[in-house]
Amino acid sequence: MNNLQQSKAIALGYLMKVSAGNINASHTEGNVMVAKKVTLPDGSSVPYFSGQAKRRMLRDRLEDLGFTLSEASALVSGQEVTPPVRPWEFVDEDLFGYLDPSGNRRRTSPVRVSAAVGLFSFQGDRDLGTRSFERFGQDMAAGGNMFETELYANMFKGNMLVELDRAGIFSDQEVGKNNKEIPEALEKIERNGRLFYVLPGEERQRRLQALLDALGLLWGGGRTARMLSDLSPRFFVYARLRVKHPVFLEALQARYLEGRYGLVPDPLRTALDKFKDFRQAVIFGLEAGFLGNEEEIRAELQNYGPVLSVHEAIAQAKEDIKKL
Amino acid sequence: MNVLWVKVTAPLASFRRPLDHNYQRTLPLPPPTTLFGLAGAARGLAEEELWQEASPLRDLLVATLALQKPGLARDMWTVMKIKNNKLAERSPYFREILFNARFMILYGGPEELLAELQQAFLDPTYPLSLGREDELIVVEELGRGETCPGAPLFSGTVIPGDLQGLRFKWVPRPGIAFEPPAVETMPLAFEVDKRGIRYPLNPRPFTFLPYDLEVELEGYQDALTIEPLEGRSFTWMNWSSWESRTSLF
Repeated sequence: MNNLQQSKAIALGYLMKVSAGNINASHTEGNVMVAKKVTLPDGSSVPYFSGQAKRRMLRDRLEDLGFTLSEASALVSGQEVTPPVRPWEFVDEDLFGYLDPSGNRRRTSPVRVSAAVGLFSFQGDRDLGTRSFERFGQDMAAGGNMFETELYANMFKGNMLVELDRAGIFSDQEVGKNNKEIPEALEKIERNGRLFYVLPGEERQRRLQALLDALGLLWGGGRTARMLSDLSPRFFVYARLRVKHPVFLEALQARYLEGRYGLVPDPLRTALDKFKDFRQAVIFGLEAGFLGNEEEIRAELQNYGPVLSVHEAIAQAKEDIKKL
Repeated sequence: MNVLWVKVTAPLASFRRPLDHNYQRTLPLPPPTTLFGLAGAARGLAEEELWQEASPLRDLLVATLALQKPGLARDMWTVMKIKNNKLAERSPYFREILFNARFMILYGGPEELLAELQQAFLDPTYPLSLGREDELIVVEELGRGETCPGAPLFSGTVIPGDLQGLRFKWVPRPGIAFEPPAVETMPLAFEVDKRGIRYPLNPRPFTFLPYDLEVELEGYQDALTIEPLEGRSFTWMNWSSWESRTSLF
């Protein structure tokens, strides 16, 4: 990865659509399963689902893609869960970090995942369900307990920031200074009195490409048995950067007009202009027919980079990673 | 005094009050150690480097102001509990989260240090967050300035000391929902042991004033302002006239 010194990060911004769901529930109030939401200063509220929930989904999708996760190799003893601390072996330890409670070994995730925040207010909708007594050996005529689940139809914005100079690179502090398990084959680099172990370039690229694939396949959360939602991006922006800034964190805003979602171009354009001197590649993906102002968005964004379909944009972003 | 000011947006942020456990309330503004941690992340300092006695940031003064009233969420987490050597039960806890908060963060100190820090905020070694690794912030704007004396009127900021011990007067304003201040004893630094466990050092009481609460402190000498604050006052969290410079360590 020769360009690593120049490219420090990848910033991803995306929009996800939930037609009817409660992706990440909070607590129960009586018999109501409450959705996670934020109360704004004007008293209204918007739903969100946590970065932690998204990490879980990304992990699961990486497993779908054929990667072995570290969880099965964790040791449970007393009140401690000790991760394997073999990030060269487990993609999730590499990309999402770990904490070894029994010693000074921890890895801050080089992939930062924002919470997904709804762009429209929560309207108070609920799904009514019945837990039939039939399940407990009684007649159907005995009825059942009613329960409710808050749900929403909304569009969510999400963000990720990937530290390119840390993904696939593990410091001696992260893996332990005298760790005999560290494969001899890993490249070793000394910098500022610390030792770093580096995975081969192809493997690092493969892991970053898999992360993009996992995002492109995203689904998960709670209640998938009856409220399955496709959380793959409907709009996607990829930027390779010379600085570590979450460029798109506040850049995605939407409006709802005449039954269609519309992306507000100004904040996105402002963010791209602000980081003009630091962005090295920008790729946009847009699902055809998703935005009411699709033509306007295509026209605005093509000045910054190619505007493709989402799956093509992810494929091109994976190609871009090969340049690193 | 020279100042580096950094205007940031935090889509999500949470500053846990020290003794809260199952229900973790958030302070309305970041405490001093968070502001040192932010500067350390920008400079690329590991935790043990940041909190060592010879820390390159030991001469920094820190302050912060809220720039708008944030939203609030109560986020429920479940912690997996271990039973018979298996992950078994789930134990819920709540964490308050500030949503869409904007802060002005101020660093004071020697010119060379501030110049280095300014560069670090433009090209940070680690992504910038005010706490948890996923709670990233966006740097909206940053710049340099000079402090000048300010009026002893404070709102949406942190004052060293317990408000009860200061001669204060609430300045009522129409149309606001009253929110009380939070007074907490917070450390100014940490000691990090060989296992990476942090221990608080030099605890001091601080008054956290929410955005809508304005107080006048009679006879207060350490109120400062800078031009981008448009007349609002602040005071350094790790500076107090009765103790001169409060040492970090």
